[in-house]
Amino acid sequence: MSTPPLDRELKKGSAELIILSILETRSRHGYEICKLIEQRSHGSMKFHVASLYPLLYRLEERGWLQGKWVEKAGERRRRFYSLTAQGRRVLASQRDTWKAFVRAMDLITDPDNA
Amino acid sequence: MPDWRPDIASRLGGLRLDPAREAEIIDELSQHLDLRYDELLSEGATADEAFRTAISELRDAQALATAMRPLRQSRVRPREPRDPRLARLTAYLIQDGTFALRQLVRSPLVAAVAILTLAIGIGLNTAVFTLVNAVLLRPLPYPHPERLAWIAPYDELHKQQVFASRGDYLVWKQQTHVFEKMAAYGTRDFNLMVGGEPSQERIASIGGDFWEITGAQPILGRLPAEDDQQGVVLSYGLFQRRFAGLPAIIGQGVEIGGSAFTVVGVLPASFRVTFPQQTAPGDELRDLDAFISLPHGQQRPGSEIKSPNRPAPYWVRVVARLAPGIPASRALLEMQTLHAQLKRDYPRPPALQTSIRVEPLHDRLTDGARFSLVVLQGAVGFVLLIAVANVANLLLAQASLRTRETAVRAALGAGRGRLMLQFLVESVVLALIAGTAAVVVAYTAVPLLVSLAPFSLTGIADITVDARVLAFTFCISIVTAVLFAWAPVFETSRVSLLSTLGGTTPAATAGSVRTQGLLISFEVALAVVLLTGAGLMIKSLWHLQMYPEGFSPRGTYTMRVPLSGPRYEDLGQKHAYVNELLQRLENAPEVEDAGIASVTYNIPVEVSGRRGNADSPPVVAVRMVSPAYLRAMGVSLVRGRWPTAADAHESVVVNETFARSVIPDGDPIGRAIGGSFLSGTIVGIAHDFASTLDGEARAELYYPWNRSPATQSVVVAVRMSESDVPVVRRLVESIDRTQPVYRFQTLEQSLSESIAPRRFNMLVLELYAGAAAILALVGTFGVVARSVSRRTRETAVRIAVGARPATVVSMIVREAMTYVLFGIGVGVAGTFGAGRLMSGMLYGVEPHDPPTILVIAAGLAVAALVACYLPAAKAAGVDPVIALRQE
Repeated sequence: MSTPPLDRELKKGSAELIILSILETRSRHGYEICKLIEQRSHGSMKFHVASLYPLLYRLEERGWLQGKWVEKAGERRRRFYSLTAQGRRVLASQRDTWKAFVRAMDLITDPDNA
Repeated sequence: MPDWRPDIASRLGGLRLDPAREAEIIDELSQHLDLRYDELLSEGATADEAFRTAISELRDAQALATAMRPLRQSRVRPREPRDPRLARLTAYLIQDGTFALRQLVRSPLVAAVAILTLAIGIGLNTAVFTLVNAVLLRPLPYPHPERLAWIAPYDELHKQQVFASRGDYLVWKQQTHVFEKMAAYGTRDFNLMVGGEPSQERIASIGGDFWEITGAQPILGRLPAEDDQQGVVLSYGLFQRRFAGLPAIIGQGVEIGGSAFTVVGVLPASFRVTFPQQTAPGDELRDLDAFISLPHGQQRPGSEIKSPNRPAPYWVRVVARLAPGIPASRALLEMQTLHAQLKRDYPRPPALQTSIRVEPLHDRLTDGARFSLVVLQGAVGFVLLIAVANVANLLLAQASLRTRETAVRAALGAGRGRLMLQFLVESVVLALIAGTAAVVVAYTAVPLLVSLAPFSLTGIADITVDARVLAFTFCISIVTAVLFAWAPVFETSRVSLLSTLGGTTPAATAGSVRTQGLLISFEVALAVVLLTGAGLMIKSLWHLQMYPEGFSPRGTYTMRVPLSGPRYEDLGQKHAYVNELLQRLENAPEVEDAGIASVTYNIPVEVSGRRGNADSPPVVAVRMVSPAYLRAMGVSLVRGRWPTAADAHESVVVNETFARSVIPDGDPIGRAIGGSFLSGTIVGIAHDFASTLDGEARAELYYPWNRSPATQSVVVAVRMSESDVPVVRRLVESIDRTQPVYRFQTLEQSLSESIAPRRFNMLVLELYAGAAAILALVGTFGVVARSVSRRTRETAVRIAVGARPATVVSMIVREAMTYVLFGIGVGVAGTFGAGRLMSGMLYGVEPHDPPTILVIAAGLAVAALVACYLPAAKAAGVDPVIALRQE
């Protein structure tokens, strides 16, 4: 189940944007984030425990995310992550940059534009 | 489900995570692995496969740590492992502290009363302790203060320390080995002439290692060498006062006591010599103004300094610094041996027989104030105890209102210790707030106390609230808190869960009523002791201010004339001055009576026909006076007559004590006296009088001043009306401009000053006793009022079933008064102990003076009766219907 090298490089550069996007609509716990990334990328992208959580903690330390323990009756307590106001601003800006980048890449790599 | 925790923990091991954070991460990751494991199982993996797949997502052993390492949370400073019990206690303390603050806010009136009461109690204690600290505890402001010693001959006959002879001092300094440094100094007031203007200054003549012992460093110029006979060092005060603070004065010439000196240095403002000074009775204590060297030349041990050409004291005092490691006791032994040898080598008259004393300088300096301060601290401690009892009572009342709350907490599982801790924390919070307010009280009270305090002593000038004082305040706040927490804690420990939760109204238990009553007894007992102390002091002062029979100082003015300077080195010139003075005063129409007194000798006097051992004639005070001196002082005759102009030369007068003690079995009038330079006939017996109000009358003989072998400065006594004071003053000063009159005051003033320390003690004790009485009465009132209001129902029922209001009132009053009377009884017993302690401060009254004790006890009982009656009467006036409906 090893990730192809290209995939790993791309993922590394865009990991922050991926996490912020996943959390845009509502707060989620780590496992959920992991599953959503897998589903939305149709299995082409996967985050492992050893990389996901350190990334979440780093974003939390930067003030983009906020982690909160939530207890529900009859369940174990879970740590939910949500975007902070600062996280939202960062997401908007990173998304714009990404779209501009993808557009540029499309223009360059699309044979129709050649 | 597998346990992932040990695995995750080992992967995080290399990081410096906060233990709590680490636990969170482990929790979070193992949850993730749990979910993943479940998922794999549901997809059809075996348990073993699922485990291996899930754990593989942690990647290699270092991956997690490597990804985590750059994070801030991985670099937390390692913390000391915490004792869980300590952590729990801390949590409790924080919780209880916040609760206590909320509690205070919820009942602001109770909080304000408690804090105010305690702030006054703690503040007064802090104020007195500030004095104790400055005067008794702080080391002397000189190098090696712990090794400084005071060496003085002790007059066994009159039981007092006396001056040393410079000759003795020189031998001590040369021949002892126990002292590292030794210095002699003597102080006398001399005339200072600067630019033709005279002023009277206190001049210290110093010798030996004076500057090394005091550690003085001049701010201007230098300190003179010991053999510099011409240099004078000015105090900062004199430098400012007479020389306008101009640095150019170094090297300038001045005249002291008629001799020429050169200013060589100026001392800093902070430098003060607090060593005992040489003062005549009635002299003011003041800072030393300037320092010159003692005159040269070896004096014979035992004799006074004779320096015809130079201002100098007659005798000296001696301070020394002990060699390191030498105790004062060993120094004393060596000094005793040397003193005995000196007495053999240089025999002295029997009247000058002395032993020698060596004591720590600090003890010598604080002797006068120690007793006063200790009594004050004790008295103010009593005030605090009463305040504590009041607050304990207040909290007790609060606690009994809170029994429900306490019971609920107990029912929810709070242990007894936990409940007690809560009350303790509440008390500490209260006391600490009060302690902070107390520092403000102390800041206000200290300057007041200092301005009243008569002991112009070491340290009194730079009294400050320092770290030790603050530590003291903190400690007594905590002790106070523990003391008053005791009552509610004790009360709580008896709370019965069932009865409290089951009942509707928190009822006063018999126990809490008794506790409150006993607190009242305690307060009243303390108030009795303090009030009795104050009462005894007032009575002492009253006794002191009653002038003895035959002594009426009103209308008498006294002043001093220095008779110093080159013009008055010769006895004949002094006599010429005094004769001129007496002549002018006699001729002045404004003057009713006028006289002078000069030297007093303590010498043996022979009286013809006296029974007893002729070899040891009694030693009495022989005072050199002019014929009208006693009359001018307001002293009248018991028998006989005053000397007349014709026989003044050989007539002497004795006082009553002389007559009684020297010639107990006969009439002294007509007897001849002799011994030393004395000769003459006793012609009259005068009433006793002393120059201080609390002085013991001694045997005195009044001898013609002009037959004295020496005359020093003179005290002039003039009887006149107040309006003539300026005229007479000018008249005296016009005789010689270089002899300024000083200490011009009424005799009553100077007598009154002589008991200033007693007046201070009385004033402060009165203040404290007053505060104590008020606190005790307020406490009694409060307790009765609260117990009455809690018993409204009982009272109402009693009245409803026919009890007369008067019966109810008397029942309530009787109950409360039992405790008050018990307290008074205990207090009266306590006065016996306190009285013995105080006996040194009393005059003319026994420590167990029954009238005083009786008046105090009765007065307090009546006041307490009123305090009990008021709330009781109010309770009896309540309409039973309304009272019962309220329930």
